[in-house]
Amino acid sequence: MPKSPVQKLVGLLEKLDSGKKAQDEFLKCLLEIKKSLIGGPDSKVPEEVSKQLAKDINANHVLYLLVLHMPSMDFEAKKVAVQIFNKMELFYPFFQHVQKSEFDIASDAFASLKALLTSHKILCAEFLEKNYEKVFQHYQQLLESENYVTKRQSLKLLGELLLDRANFTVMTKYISDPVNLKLMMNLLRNPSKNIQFEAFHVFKVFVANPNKTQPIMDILLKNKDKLVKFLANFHNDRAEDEQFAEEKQYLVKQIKDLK
Amino acid sequence: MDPDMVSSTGWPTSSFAYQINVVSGWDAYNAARICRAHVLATNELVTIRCLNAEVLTSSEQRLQDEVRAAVLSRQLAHPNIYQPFVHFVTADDPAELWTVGPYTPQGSLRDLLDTTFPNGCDEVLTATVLHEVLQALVHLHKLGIVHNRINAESVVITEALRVCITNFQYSRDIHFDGDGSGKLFDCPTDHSILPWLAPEVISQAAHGYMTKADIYGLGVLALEMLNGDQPYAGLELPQMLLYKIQGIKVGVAPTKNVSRHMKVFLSQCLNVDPDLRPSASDLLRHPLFRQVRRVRATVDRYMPRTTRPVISIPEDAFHFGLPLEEPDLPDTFERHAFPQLFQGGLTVYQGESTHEHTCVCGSVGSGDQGTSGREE
Repeated sequence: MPKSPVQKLVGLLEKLDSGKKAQDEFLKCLLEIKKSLIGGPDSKVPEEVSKQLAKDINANHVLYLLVLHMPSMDFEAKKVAVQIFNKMELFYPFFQHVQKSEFDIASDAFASLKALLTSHKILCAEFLEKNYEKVFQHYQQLLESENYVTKRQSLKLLGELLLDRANFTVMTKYISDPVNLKLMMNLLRNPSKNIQFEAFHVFKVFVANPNKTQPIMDILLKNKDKLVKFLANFHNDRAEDEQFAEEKQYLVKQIKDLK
Repeated sequence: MDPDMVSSTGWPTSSFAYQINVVSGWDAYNAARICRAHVLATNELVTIRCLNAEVLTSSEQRLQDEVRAAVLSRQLAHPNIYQPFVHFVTADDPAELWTVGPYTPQGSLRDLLDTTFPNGCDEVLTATVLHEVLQALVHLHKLGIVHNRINAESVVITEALRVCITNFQYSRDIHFDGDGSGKLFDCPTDHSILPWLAPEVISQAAHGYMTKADIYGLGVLALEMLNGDQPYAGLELPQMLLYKIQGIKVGVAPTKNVSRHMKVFLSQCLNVDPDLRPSASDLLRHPLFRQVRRVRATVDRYMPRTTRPVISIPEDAFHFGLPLEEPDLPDTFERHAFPQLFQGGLTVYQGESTHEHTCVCGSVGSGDQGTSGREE
């Protein structure tokens, strides 16, 4: 059976230090992989091909090996290696790292996750729209985490993401799902005041939405009296925060007017 | 949360796995308890810092500071830098961030000053401690890290008599936090550390600050150790800041006898102009440190005598490989008939059975003695 380009690359990585010829051969192989992973200026790669290649790269731990051997590569090879590294989608493993029990690892991973989701707004909005189901399925785990810090930080980030204009489509999708509303309503009653407060900032979007879907409407209507009563006593000690008081008043009015 | 969870390094990451014995101090605006504790499974003594998680997440800056301290302590490997074993968030209500690290029977140097040297300690101990702190600073500064909180609270002495610096919350990395020219500009906002901060950090001068800021802190630490008191105690805040920025120095208490070298050391460290302060590696060769010999013995001589807490295993605990009592041998059992049975270590309980129940860790070395004891 002929070796796949990825297996060939792994073999070549070992011999990188043996001279110019090995370096050239390595670069050639690297370029070949790049071509079938990313494509060139005038050639598009079918998605199945690049997906299969990406799987192959992961299975052979190529990214790890590339970083390990980076110092022995020449300039041109380093450039291509970085392009390959960037193309590989390493987004979802972050959700696992964020849930590690060690605080330093989890926080570091969360900072990276936050940077990934917020630094390039247009790109992120596009990504979130396209991968909505998968991303929020993962995100749900963070919101349900037993770890106070993870729960609070992810809830805060969710609020920031949803209230960002760039993510308007994602927000509309999120606030039309009754499962999300139920989660937020439960978080409003979390023992921690800070988590209640962060949940409020997500909950308000559901209520303020002028085009509520029927399931959302049903839940709000069913709990109308309870919600009004609950919000009336919600964080009354935050008197100095005028914006919060205004928003709360607005919500109470909105819920009262629901029909 | 699963009480059996462990970190990648094998340390439990659940509060159920530890038993807190004494709250020995408070830190960070009294939001963090410093506790002496032990690991239930192994009885190993540890020191735990428990920080309220609401306080931890009260501001983005606060959280960042703690993450920075946790991540840095994992990356820095130096004998004079305190390295916690594990950091984790507990599942208790209210949740806390626990930092579990090597046992420090005396707490911080500040605690030691309070309890044992209220009028300050003598020059030999001061020089010995400063010399150890300096070695940590040389390492940090080489990596481009400014500690920003060199004071007696940030120095701990471990059970192995090692002087270590800790509290990396306000540290800054010249390469990441600076403007690219090797200068730092942002100043920690914690008022309690103002007496130790260098004038160029406080004044937030346009030319920023660098690693030399820690040298100033070291000078104030020296004063703190010699006087026993907080430096600039009794001064109003604005007056203290003015003194610092104008370069008016406070000195050693007049009743205190210190050598000429110490005086030179203090005036060099507390120089208002950072460029005129020596660097950490320069200071290592300072004549003040000629009196530093045999660090551990010196430190040991000054430590108050405390007894190591004896922790008894609760009755319902599980025991692995350690029988609680020596099993009765049947009378008919001929001991001397099978000498090789006892010498060869074929029986499980032999050797180990002479151990005290309280000592689980470090039981390897004494195994042989146990066997020979049985032979007699």
